[in-house]
Amino acid sequence: MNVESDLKEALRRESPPAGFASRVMARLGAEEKPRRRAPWWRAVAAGIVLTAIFGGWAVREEVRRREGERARDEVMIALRIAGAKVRTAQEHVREIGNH
Amino acid sequence: MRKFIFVLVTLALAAPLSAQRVNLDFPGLSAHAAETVDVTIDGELLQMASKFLDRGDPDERAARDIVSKLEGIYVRSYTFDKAGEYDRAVVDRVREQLGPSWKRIVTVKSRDRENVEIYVDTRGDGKTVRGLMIISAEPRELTLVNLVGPVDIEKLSSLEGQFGIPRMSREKKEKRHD
Repeated sequence: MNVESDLKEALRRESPPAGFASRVMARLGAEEKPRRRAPWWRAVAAGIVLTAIFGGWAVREEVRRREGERARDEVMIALRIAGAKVRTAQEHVREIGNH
Repeated sequence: MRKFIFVLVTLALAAPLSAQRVNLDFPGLSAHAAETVDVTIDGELLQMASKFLDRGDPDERAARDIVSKLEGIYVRSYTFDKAGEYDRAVVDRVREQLGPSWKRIVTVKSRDRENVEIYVDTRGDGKTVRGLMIISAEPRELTLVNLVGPVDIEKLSSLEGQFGIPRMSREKKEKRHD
């Protein structure tokens, strides 16, 4: 029974002291720092820098891709020419063998 | 100092194993040609080309296998309007550059068709092919091919014929007719 009365005592409803709400609100107002908005030109500058970086990277990749494709085409031409000449020689050798 | 000597010795031992590049550039040849194919691909460009070869395409897959072992690809092919428009001594000048490690494996001589000579560079063990030189001389066409590095000749011959050559990479000269 003692425990029950202790709990009741501890959880007893108590009104806040006078002026509590106004003091809390005053403190909240004092702690709120004034927000500084970034100037618009900073956002524009960041956008330009990002565009330049991404654009430069995209152009570089495109140049690299074109160089690679050109090199691939040249390799295929070179190897096909070489292959054709080797085949010609092989055919001649086969013809001689057949005779 | 020891490191320096080690590097020198390593380089001296490795140098003879590296296949020989043959000079295929002779002044005046392209000036007289109606059509020229000039391909020089080595080093980084060769590796880059290898990355762009499509594994799905059987021809490009075979090319990729060949290219992965090569150090350089050099091709000069000239087509002339008339027979005898190029100096035949060019062929001798190419042959003269081939040292004792080069062996002629095929010679095809024909009166009405092309003459083809194929040489392989077998420096090192005398068996492994470390380079290939093809000289194809016709009355109206001269083709010189030099592949530097180990070459699988069978794989090379299995590549699609000239019907697969993209026309865009061929330079065609418009001859002036006065």
